[in-house]
Amino acid sequence: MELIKNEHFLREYLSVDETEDIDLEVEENLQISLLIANFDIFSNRKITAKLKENSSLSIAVADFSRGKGNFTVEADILGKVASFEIRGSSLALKNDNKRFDIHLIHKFGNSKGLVSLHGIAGGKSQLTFDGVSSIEKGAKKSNTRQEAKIIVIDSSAFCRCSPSLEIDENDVIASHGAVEGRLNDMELFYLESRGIEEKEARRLIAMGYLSPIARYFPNQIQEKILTSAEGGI
Amino acid sequence: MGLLEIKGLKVAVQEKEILKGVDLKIAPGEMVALLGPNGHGKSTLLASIMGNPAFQVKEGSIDYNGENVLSLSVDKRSKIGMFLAMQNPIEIAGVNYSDFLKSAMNSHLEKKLSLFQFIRQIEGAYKEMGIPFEMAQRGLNEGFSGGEKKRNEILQMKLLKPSFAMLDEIDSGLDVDAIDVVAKEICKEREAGTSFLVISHYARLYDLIHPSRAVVMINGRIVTEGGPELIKRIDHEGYEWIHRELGISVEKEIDTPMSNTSIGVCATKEALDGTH
Repeated sequence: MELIKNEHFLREYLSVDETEDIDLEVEENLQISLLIANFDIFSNRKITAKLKENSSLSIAVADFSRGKGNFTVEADILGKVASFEIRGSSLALKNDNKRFDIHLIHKFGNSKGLVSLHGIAGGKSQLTFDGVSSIEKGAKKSNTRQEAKIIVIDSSAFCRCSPSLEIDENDVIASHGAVEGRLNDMELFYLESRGIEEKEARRLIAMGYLSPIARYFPNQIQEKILTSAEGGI
Repeated sequence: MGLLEIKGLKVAVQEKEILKGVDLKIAPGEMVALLGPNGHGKSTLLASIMGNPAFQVKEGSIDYNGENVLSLSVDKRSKIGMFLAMQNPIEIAGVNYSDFLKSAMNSHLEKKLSLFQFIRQIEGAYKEMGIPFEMAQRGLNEGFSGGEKKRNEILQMKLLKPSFAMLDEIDSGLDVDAIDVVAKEICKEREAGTSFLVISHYARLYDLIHPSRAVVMINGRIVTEGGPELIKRIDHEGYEWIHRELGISVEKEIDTPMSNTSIGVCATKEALDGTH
């Protein structure tokens, strides 16, 4: 993990093709951004984070690697007005079996959480998103959102999304949404009706799922993300 | 030979027949208004001509310049010059509008556009359509207002230069100024030789684009046709007279005259909901 930006209350770390676990304590008033890109091997990995008052942690995960394993994130919001976000895009191909488990616990109020994952499963791969966001009693005015979208591009691939919420406090905002399925016929029809061949239409839609994650990364990694997405599809 | 020739076209959605034998011929250079009460199959006809997979063609034929359209994939239909501006253009998250335009334009060309040629062409088209150029960097129709989507449909038409364009309620959701912009573009394309088949519920659009002919679809068939005076008559009287004069009983409730605002009921939705 490389520290690529270090300003007054702002740190940005980049981790490319690393597999070791990460344990972060985000001190009061600090903002950390963690950029994780995998192009090589997918294996078990665990990110643990504790967020103190008025701190924030944003994680971006761009996963274009091959392999099997569980990518686990456990984030605890341990102070008020703290904010946790994770955005991820994953491409599973061949015999990959990838599982993303994201657990977020809001223990204090006025805190924000966002879990947003996009994936494409092709070949004989399996791609699973499992998310649990909890808001504990007393964490009033917390706001948490979970969303997951996976599309399957080959009939032999498998996907599952199960975002869930556990809420023990009334005064909160919580929402979740999951989409799993095949490429949408109407989206394909729209693109093809403009002359775009089916193969190219599928590529455009798939890139639409995978490429938005790139903008969180530095330039040279952005390029690699886009080439890996293109190449994979 | 007609540009477009449809014979005995029967189309179903999930086994519910919506088009029950449509015959329609359009000659090169014509601008045809497709009129009819809501829920009688106008949009279904346009979608079927373009090849929307939600509709199954059960019988009949569609020829375009003598070529059998029904045997062509959707992208090939576009490549031979057909275009459909959709009533509800779909939003495709994450697909960049300018990437989409580039793929679409290149698919019609033997030699791909250079980046410079591409930018120059689209920049000009955005300007003429009064669309901020920044919108080219947004997701495809993502978060666009109804009016923005419609303007962008016409933008695509300008860039793809079809020989036959079908416009499905292109004016709904547009304010008066935007209708003028869109109508101007339609007239410009027509002068350049494009033929049109246009659905609208508003006489205003037809006043601006001057259709050469109007056809009326009732119960999934074209039941009558005439000159521009037919549009005026329907605008003033609605569709009641069709029952009186032609002896055709309209199977569904007739909606209000065309110049009134209507929310719209589509035949497909009704068939799927099984509401009749």
